Amino acid sequence: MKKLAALLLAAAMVLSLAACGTSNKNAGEESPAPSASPAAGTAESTWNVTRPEGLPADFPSKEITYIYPFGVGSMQDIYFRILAEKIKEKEGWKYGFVVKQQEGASGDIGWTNFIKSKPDGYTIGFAPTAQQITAIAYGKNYTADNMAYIFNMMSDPGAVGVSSKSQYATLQDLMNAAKENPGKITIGVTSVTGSEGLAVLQLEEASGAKFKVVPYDGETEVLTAVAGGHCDAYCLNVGDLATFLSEGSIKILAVGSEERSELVPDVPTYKECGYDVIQVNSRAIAAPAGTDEAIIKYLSDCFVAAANDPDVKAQCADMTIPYDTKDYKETTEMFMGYFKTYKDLWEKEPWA
Amino acid sequence: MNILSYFAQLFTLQNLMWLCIGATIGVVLGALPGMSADTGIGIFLPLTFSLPPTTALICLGAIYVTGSYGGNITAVLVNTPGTSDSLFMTLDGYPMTLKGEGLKAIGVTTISAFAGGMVGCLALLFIAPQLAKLAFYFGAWELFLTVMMGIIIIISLVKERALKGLMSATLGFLCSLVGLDGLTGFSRFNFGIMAIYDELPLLPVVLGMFAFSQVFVLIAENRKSIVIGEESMKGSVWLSPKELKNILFETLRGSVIGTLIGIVPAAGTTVAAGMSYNLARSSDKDPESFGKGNPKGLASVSAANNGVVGGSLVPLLTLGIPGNGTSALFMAALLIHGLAPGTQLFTTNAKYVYGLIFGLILANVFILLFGLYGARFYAKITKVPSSVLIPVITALCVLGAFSFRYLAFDMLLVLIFGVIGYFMDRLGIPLAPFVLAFVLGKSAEIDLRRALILMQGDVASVVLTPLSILLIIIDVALLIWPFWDNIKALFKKKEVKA
Repeated sequence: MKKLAALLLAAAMVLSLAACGTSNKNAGEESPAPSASPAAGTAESTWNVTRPEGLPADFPSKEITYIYPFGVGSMQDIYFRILAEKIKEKEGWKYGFVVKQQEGASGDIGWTNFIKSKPDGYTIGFAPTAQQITAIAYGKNYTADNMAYIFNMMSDPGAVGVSSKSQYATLQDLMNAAKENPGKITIGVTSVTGSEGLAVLQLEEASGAKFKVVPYDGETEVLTAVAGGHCDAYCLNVGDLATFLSEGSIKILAVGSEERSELVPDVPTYKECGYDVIQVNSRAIAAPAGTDEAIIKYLSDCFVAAANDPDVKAQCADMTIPYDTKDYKETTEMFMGYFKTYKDLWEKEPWA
Repeated sequence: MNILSYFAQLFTLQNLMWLCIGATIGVVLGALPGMSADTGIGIFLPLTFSLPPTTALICLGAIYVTGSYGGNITAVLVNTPGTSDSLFMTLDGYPMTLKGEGLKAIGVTTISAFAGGMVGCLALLFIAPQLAKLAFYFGAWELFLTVMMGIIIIISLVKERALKGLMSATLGFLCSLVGLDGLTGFSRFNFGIMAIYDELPLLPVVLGMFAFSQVFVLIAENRKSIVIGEESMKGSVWLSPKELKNILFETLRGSVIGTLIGIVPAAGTTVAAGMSYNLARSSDKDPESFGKGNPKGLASVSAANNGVVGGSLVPLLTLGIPGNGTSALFMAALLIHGLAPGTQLFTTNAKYVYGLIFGLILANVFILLFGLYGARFYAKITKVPSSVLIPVITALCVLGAFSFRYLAFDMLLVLIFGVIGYFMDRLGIPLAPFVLAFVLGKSAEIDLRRALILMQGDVASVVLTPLSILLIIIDVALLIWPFWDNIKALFKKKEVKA
């Protein structure tokens, strides 16, 4: 009798583990059952998605896997989950999106699996600017021309700044100091070979300055070191800065976008400061090349509609998200541009 | 508004229900190898979107608190740490179980985990804004010195078996070098295997070394179950006043150490538990009894482990600096509900943050309930026949490693390190130094190199600050302490000769 109880207990333990591994990572499953009830009537004005011609009538007939090759809990991860939940609810799908988190090798493990998956519309993946930098630097095949972009979630402009106690008031001050004392001014980044390290390299080229680049494990580590006076400056993205800016422990000198960022309208761009450098980190969703265009168009329309949905907007109001909602055509155009820029840069001067 | 009124508003049916759910999920996930508080918070984060902020935070907080405790149970009873954090519980907890004192061990680890958690939460409640500034003083050099404390502990762990212990530690350091060099972005020693391009993943290695190797040990020793005979259930989970008094000091010291180390970014549970264990052992009248089932050792570790929970939330809530991986997830939860970390969290949004803190305190009470009332039930696991236990542990280890990132290679790693762990165990090479070196080696290396870059040749201005000098003194003291008796003996001999 006791043996039986123990056996049952053991089975329950293994089963519960298996259950944790599968069902609970489903981003959409926990949402309430899709309601075609009259309550949806008020939202009809904003939710305007039609199923394009050629779309399989039963799509999606199973769960759509979203490969996310980084740790959970970041801004783009949360934003995706909110969008995914909304789409499932509004479109009345039986199946939703499943987030398959596959960390490792700075994204390479997840992306390699993503690009070789079947282009049937049931596997999509996270596709940021950094993916193109990695692909070019390490000769990988997940380049922009091998993908079918679906939707751009956000474009986060780069940002250079210092501690609020720092003597440098403008980007020019900082660059001039780094020119006069080459290699003496420390600047914190999260990766030397990523977009930030690359931006520092480009800024140095444009100004003749020379920084001492210090890589940290994450954005918060960089900012803590800068705010604590251990590191002179930082080169990150605007979206990383919200908490420290509102605390007043750091200031931001310039942003890397073409035009000023809506999140910090008072801050000039690198170009305005006289340095012809663009640093923007766009974060998109893509499918492997060869996916049926009707599916791409349908998913694109769904994501755009979800991004414009008032409920989603309200849910994200307090997260400083640098929205840059773009449909599949605009996103493809933008990423082909990134791909070309970085490819040219690589051919001129390899950075890794 | 009075702080106590926030406490009162906590008692709604919805809040209490989600608190129970969170606490239960936390204990179960904590106890399962491969799952941890991180997993639980990750899974529950999207589930709590639709809840009111206070309720959501209470639920996630409960997962964090009880998740840090859940691993203690399996570590103590079957020598299988549910998370790498509960590793130290095996040092004294499992020997207690082997002696047939499994129930008492659960009692000790529960009471001290409760105490540690409470000290951390009370610090969070009363002195968070004052303590928070501590995080800013730690630059790369100071972090290196803090991590060194954890590494120095290896020496006192291996004192009796110095050569074998250092072999184990060296292997750990070697393994920690595998993967991405954080400063240059270049991957080393990966033998072209993409799965270890970043690093040897912690979880499969720890699961293999500690949990999977137990499978081989159980088979090799041909044990029918972990504890044989009726004696296994002797003693009670309810500690006598004398037993409580015995562990009181170690528990309190562990709680304070855990809270303080929790505040320091990136130092984490391993350093806290190791430091607390080392102090308890070095200052004890009978240090030889540690590692052989001394309740004091278990108490010091459990208290520090749960003290980290409250501590790590201090810089998070006040400055937006996560002290460890789990609290980084917590930051995401706060942001989703529109609560930006910072001082305004304690003023304009005080309603939510005090709700969270009181929720954490209630979750600590759940530890007591789960531990003390569930102990008899859990303890039965030590009498489960090996023929049942072995397949279960095997399945849990392999599934746990796989569910981490869905790579078959990670299952292979469990097997490889399981074999290594088994042979080390048979050869009498202690496993703890390996894991300490493996966990801390990487941060020690990167922090030191980062510090050297930041110094730019000007060593004095970084090393000769008050905090740095204080940390160096602590490091040196920890280094000398285990050998204090030998040094004294040496001086005495000289006097006699003279």
